[in-house]
Amino acid sequence: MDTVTYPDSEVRGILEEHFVAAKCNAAEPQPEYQQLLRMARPLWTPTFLFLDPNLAEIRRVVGYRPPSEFVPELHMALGLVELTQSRPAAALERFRTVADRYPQAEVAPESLYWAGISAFRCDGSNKQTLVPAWMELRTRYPKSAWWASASCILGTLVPANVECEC
Amino acid sequence: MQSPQQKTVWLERLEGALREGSARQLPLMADFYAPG
Repeated sequence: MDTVTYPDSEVRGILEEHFVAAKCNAAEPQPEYQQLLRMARPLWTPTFLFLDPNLAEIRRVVGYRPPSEFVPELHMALGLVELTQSRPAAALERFRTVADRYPQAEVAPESLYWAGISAFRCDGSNKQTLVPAWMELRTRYPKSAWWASASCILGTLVPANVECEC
Repeated sequence: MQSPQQKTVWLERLEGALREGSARQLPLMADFYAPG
């Protein structure tokens, strides 16, 4: 991470602008890190723990990520923070960023799943607002586990067009 | 390899993390790493 990912200009820019970033030596934590380490209990290193401003865990990523994967992960975390802060429109923008700018990223299918949920939260009541993003999920990532999950709900909304995989 | 200066920057950021995160409503990213 220190050699490739953190020096990347895009990674650095997002971290500096949108996060408080901290590093903890999991083997020999400094005293001020020990509470964080007890809370996180990482099973492997590196583990990246994302906490919202109230210090509630919102996402955990295990293992090295190159910049092409870490940048989308950062956007995903920011989108989830926006959702926890009841800002679904801002969350939707983050998830669309992942889906549109990083379609090859491992988290791209998940971003469309959450884009659907964010659109639903924007409306607040109409489940049809889930449909566009989740139909896009089906089209672009039909073999993904996220589509398998979405299809169970989407099948009740547009049964003529969607096969339920559950 | 991380330089001592970089470590200091990370550490300083952690020490202020709660205050800064609370004040600016920024999320925290904690990287748990093993040296070597």
